[in-house]
Amino acid sequence: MNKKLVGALALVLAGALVYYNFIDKQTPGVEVGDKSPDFTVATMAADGETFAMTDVEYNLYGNTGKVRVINFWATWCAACKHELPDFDKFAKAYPDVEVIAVCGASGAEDIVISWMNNEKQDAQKNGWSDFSLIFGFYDESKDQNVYETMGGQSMWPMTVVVDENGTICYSAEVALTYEDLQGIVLPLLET
Amino acid sequence: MKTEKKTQSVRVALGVYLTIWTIAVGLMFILQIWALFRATDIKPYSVESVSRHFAKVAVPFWVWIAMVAISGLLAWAFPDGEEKPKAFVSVTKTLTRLKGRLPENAEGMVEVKRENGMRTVTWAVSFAMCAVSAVIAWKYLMNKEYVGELTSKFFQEHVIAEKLIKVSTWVFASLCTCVCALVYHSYSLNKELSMVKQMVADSAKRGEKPVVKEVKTGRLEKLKGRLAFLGSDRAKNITRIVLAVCGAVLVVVGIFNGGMASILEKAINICTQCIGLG
Amino acid sequence: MKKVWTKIKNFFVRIKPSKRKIVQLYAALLTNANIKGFFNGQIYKGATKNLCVPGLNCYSCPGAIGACPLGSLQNALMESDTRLPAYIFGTIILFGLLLGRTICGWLCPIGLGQELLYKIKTPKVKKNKVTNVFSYLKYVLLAVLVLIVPMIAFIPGFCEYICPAGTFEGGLGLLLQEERYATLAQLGPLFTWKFTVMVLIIVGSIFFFRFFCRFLCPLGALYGFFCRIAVLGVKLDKNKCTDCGLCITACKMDIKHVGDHECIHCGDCIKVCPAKAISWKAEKIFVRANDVDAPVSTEIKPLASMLKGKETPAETEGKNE
Repeated sequence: MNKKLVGALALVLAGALVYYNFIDKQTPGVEVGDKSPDFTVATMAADGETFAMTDVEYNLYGNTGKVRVINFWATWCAACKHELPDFDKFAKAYPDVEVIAVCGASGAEDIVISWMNNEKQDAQKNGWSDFSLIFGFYDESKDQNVYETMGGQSMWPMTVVVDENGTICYSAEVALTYEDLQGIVLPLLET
Repeated sequence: MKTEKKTQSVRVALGVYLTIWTIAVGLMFILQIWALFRATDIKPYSVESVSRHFAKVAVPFWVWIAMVAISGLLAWAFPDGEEKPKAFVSVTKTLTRLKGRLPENAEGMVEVKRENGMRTVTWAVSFAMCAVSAVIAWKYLMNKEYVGELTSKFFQEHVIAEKLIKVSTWVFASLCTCVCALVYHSYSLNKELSMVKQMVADSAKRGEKPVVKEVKTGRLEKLKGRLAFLGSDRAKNITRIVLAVCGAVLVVVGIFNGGMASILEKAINICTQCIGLG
Repeated sequence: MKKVWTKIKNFFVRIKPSKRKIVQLYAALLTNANIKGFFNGQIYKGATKNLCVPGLNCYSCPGAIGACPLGSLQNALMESDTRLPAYIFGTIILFGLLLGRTICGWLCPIGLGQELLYKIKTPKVKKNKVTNVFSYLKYVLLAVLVLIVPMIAFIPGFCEYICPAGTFEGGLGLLLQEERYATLAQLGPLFTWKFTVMVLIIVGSIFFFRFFCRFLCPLGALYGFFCRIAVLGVKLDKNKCTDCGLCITACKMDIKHVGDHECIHCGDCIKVCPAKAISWKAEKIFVRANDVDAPVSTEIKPLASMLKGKETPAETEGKNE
């Protein structure tokens, strides 16, 4: 009985090693230099003091001719939430650049909306400008996983910069500051 | 015999050198990472600065690896005998046994009771200290307005980190109190044991017969009898079945209320700060 | 010549890993079966990450194929105001009930790492009263960092501030990749602190047996609550026990008696007990062939005579005589 058990366990291990390393291959996503895929997300905006989902949808290729900065964030990621005010400041300072912060959530938008309402109340303390960002939202369990479509592997937050022609100029899964954004985006505006 | 002694002294020397080297290399790693962090104010980590700082540790680290390998080979080639564990008898059990043989009003019982009392007081003090720390920790953690006097330039926005530092000082203080209490407890038990042994010897000298204490069947004993059921096999099996059912039900509930999907989501998408890369 | 051969054979017999070590290696390899992740710097994102592995293994490790129970517990508590953390509670109850701290001794990769580090030949710090008291520190860490901090600050406290598995497997695993050098840019004070903690734990594990397990691991603290009712593990037969205390001195963990909340069920005490009072629970399920008593036949009959109606040659001879 012992030998059979050992044999079965060894088989399980061998099977797992073969499966994970040779059979379950992960496909690489889009990279810098590729043409950016298109995506559409729902948006939310502040109507006065409270946030709510709007009827307007955001489409990446809906407004070509502008440099677009797409930031992916989530409510469970502290670093993501921390960098959003910097993106807001950047959006206000450079109205030529379209800045959208897409929130990836699994489940209802209530959590996101209530967090954003809280942020609106403490706007000064947390460094927000005037919420001139476009706030996108998609539900991982129902909609297309935009994070993966845009080349995201696993780390959050992610920022992708797409130029006027639709080519991906910058894609990194790091947290960025206002100065970083200036360093990445301003050279694109000059050309 | 001579080679035995020689091998033993070589082994001891190597052990001491390895200890010193291990601690030194560990400290070097810690110092280098702090030097790296202090090198520039914001975003000090870059390929160039990391390689520069850790190159300084490279040589000592490889020397340490070589020493580990050498001492490992030496241990395999010349194995030392395994230490035999020493038996020890629990002091508390001996005390109970010996005290059981003495009558209630024996000579010296007053001092024994006083030792017992001192131990109780020590443990009460440590318990109080732990309770106070728990209350203070709770207040720090739950207080939303508390930001902290520590100018949190280090942890920057981690307000919770400042609270945790305050809590950890209290926790450390309680642990030290408990260590002191345990040391005193052990010392006091041994003192009491020698006193009781003396009393038993004296009583034997006087020719007194050891007292046989009768079993009390009061309410306390009845309660103890009922509580003994809790440790029995039957109670254990009932608990196991109940917990197994609860566990299975909770897992199924979790699958349906999205808990399992949420775990998948967190396991696939890494919040880098949440694993410490921040 | 024969002497040399015997010496070589003895050498291999001596360095053969024990059964428990083999099981630990097996478990570490199985929970980190996604080896390709170490080469391409990406974690596994497939369906088996719905399940938790029993031991501590950060889900940010490129090799990990399952979720970390401690990380999942903290994340579930972070969302506990909107969703009941039923799944992870149920998983931990089932693991604790079936295995208890046997997981610590047999299935946890971090435990394996610490035991391998302990094998380095330096003088060791034996357990004493200080370690006895400090073994309760892990309960404090469980209460504060794993249960309270996620619920009030919405961050996984233990993963973020202490866990060496995250720094080692996730941090170093993900950082040492060419394409991932972009991640170096976001390291800062938190990583500096965690790296220091990791180095201290590694150095501690060389001098103290299972430094992290004894003093810091909240998962061990959690599984320790199931010590009396776990189905598998080490048990003491109180009727045979003579209270000699050899098991407690032989044990390298801070136990007060065999099988309590500190015991990792490694089985080292079984060999030491002179009264043979310590054994494995559920032994009857895993019966070994030579443990079974075969019934001894008292009658010895030649095979031929067992065939119906036939007489043995001896009987025929007897009849003839």
